[in-house]
Amino acid sequence: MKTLKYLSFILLVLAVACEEEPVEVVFADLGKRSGVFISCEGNFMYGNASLSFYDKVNKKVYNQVFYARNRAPLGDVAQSLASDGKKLYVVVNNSGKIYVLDPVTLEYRGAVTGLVSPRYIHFVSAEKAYVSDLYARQITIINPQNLQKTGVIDVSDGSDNSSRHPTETFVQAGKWLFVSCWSYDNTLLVIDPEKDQVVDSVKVPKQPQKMVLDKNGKIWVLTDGSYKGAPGGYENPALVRIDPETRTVEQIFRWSQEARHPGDLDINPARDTLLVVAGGFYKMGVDDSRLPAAPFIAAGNRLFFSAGVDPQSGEIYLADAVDYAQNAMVYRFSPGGAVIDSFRVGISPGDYLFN
Amino acid sequence: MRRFFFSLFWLGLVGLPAAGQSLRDTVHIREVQVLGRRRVEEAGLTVTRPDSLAMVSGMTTDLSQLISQYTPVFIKSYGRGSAATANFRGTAASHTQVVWNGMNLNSPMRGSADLSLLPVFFVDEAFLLHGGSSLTEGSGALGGSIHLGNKPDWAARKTVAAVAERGSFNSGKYLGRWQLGGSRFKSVSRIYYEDSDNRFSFYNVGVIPYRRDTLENAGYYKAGVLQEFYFRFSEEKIAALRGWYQQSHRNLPQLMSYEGSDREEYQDDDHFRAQFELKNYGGPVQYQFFSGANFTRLHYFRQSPDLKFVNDDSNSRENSFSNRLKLQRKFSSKIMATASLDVNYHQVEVANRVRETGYDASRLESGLLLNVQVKVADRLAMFVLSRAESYDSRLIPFIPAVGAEWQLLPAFPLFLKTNLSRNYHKPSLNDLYWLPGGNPDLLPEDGISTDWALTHESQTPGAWKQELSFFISKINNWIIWQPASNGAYYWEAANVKEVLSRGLEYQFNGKAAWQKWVFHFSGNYAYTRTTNQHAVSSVDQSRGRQLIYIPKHSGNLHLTAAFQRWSLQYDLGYTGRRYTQSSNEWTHFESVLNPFWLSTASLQKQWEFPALTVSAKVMADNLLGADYQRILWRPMPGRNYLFTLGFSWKK
Repeated sequence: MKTLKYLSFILLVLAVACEEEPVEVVFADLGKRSGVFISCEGNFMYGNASLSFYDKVNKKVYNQVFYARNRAPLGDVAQSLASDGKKLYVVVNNSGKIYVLDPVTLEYRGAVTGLVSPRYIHFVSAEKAYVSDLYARQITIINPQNLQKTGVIDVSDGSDNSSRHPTETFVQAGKWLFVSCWSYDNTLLVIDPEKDQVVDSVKVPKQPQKMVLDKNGKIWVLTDGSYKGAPGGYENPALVRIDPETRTVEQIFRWSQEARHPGDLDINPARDTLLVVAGGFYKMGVDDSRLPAAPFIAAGNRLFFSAGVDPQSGEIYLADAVDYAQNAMVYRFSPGGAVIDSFRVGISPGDYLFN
Repeated sequence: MRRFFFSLFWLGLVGLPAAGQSLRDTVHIREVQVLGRRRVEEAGLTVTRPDSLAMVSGMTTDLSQLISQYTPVFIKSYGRGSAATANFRGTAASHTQVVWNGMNLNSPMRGSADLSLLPVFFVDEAFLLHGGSSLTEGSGALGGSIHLGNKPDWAARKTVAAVAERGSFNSGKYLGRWQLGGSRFKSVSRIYYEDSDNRFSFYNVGVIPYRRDTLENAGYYKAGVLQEFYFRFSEEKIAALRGWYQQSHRNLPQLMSYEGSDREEYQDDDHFRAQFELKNYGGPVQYQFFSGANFTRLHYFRQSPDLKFVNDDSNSRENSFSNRLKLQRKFSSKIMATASLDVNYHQVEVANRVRETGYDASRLESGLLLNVQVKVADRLAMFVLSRAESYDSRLIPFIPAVGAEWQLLPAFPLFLKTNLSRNYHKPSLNDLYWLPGGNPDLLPEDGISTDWALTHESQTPGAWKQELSFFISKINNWIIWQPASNGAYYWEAANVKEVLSRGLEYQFNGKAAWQKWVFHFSGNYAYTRTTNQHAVSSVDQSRGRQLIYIPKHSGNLHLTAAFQRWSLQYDLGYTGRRYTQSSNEWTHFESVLNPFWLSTASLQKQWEFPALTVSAKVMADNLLGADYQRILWRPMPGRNYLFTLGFSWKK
């Protein structure tokens, strides 16, 4: 009887262990199709970032395409996507690296490693690209041809950590490259890409992040204002218009205190309308004199996290992060705001690259 | 599978000799080791006590390993030497209260306790109160509570014990305990030190191309000293004075996918705990009084050494003062009552030098308990209790619980235990005041739960015992950190979830002899279904899904064969599939952590001399070299070895 008891328990433990294995992810070459790559941040310190591709024509989404092709995880916090026309770059922030992929097959072609906290990449030429960094106090210069680090642009102002310049997004206006400095900062740095030097700076409201260039050649900057109780203080979020020629702030549009915190800024293909995720999804003409009173697309009980705008069709891809711990829902809208499709991607989709 | 499970339980019942055993008549609270007998003061409570064999086997481990191996509680561990918290019955880490000689060790700042910083060697007894049973000792334990105790060996005048252990990855542990004194006074001193380079090899599938890597920046050391003084004024009146200082330094390794610049990241913890306790078991009113202080310092540091850039340099100070007066009165042979009053004060300072953020906050909390235990009949005992508590400016006037224990058949030692309770859990000070995202308007988490347990134990102490429990609890206002409601980039605490937790727990242990062999066997199994019942939007797929990192199935089996002075032990542990997404997505490789089995084998030899015992043990951990992850993308070591040498001397 006792033997039976021992055997019973062992069988019990074995029984509960007989579980199924996850399903394999299968997909075909995607780079030849008309669609959009979507990088999904995942959760910080979970290492569950992912890459999705949405086929616009067939209305079909392919998730986990990086893993499916390369049999390795993308890493921790996929911050942004970029392409130089020859290769696809995925900046993986908390893995300290940039994965470089074949744009058609998504096969691994190499990586830029040894970075501190990379955020965005900007291509200056075929041999030179800049990588912004949240914590390095420098912009790393890489050669996209051989993926070697070729230099740095020192962006530190010489003071201690609290007055660092954490570089974020880039926008090119003529010869000059503007880079926003986000975390606890309030600066746009102006870089001369020929000399790889910071040549000037522009003070803006607190925490500038996303930037776009409009049809008038003006730079629009979205600032989130930090948070209440922050050491450097808090202010209402703002949309800021900059004249890149004079490097001056022309106008500041302040969001009201009741407004939701802005999170993403895009512009339509004609570059005459700003598109802002701020709770709801807002539209604002670049010549308008005030912020929109009502959202173009109301959030309802959705958590709009990011948006991508198709540079050809003007269609809008708007992500609902749901609870930030499950696969997010992306809604595809016509430029007029009609729902075309919806699909699920990975956790917290943050950046969009149209193919 | 459930049919199979119940079959096993009934097999256990019928396979052992029946023996008449009634609930004990005596209800005094004298400290006695009770084996195979019922304690009326525990009637209706679901209690787990790791047996003495478990305590000995786990002597050189930390509490997280003891609990995960010898109880049905799931431990979420970040790896060797790293932080480990309990998910009791599928609840959050802060829903398990850890209590040392009556003093709560949970951090008032974070709400949880790091079990990896509690060495088993510093504990003489441990027991767990499951679910609502924990209300007899305190509130806030929505999952359950873990109670640790110290006591001297009054029977011995002088004892000395020492253990040295060396293992793979340049790991070492050194433990010492000595006791002095006579029949009126005892001094017990303990000291421990452990360290490890923790540089182990693993096959890294988190990078391209895959490669064999070595875990870097994972070393740690922990050291502590515990001094206890006991004064026995009479047989029934004892005073204790205890002081515990502990220090640890733990490097924090990166995820497997990390290929960035060098990072230096570590956490230092310093604890100093002191308590005075006075117990009187005699007279019509028995009492226990204690007053204690707990000072904790936590330093978290992260920098990129190449750039000399410091990301975080955070210092937290927690100062807690605890006081309790507990009175017990036996009115008759069938009725006893307990009343206790707790008054605690916590003060927390958090300051991040680099980010220039932090907060100072304090909390005064008090609680009053009234508990009446009645032996209604020879085979039936019940309890009714109510707590009233206050914290900050909030009053929770009525936290009730009722329970009963019934011996089902007069001639058969089978007991049915049940209880029904309400419980609540205060938000931690981080939940309320952390910048950014702390929410001063948080409500306490509010739960209602019930337990039903069948217990069967043989008349011969230790020969066989098994218990099957079913539990269900619903927790409202579950606090989680989620993206800020105003859309900001930071996260904030909110009362958003309703969580339903239900499941089964089964435990057994026994002993058998054959010729010169003695066999010990024990095990546990937990089926835990803990689901989110709340979904905001129609596309939210988390409704009805298992909470992340909580396995539905987990269990352990321990077999020991002893022959004269030799003993061979085999331990087998199973952790079921765990999800890492709230929607329980499992089609993607990193949305699920696969089940794993871990086995350990050890061989021990003892040499007995007059007053002296020497032992040597060799152990192989992860015997079969299982490739597994406890936390997503954090590697775990393969097979590794330990060699332990110990001696104890008693006079």
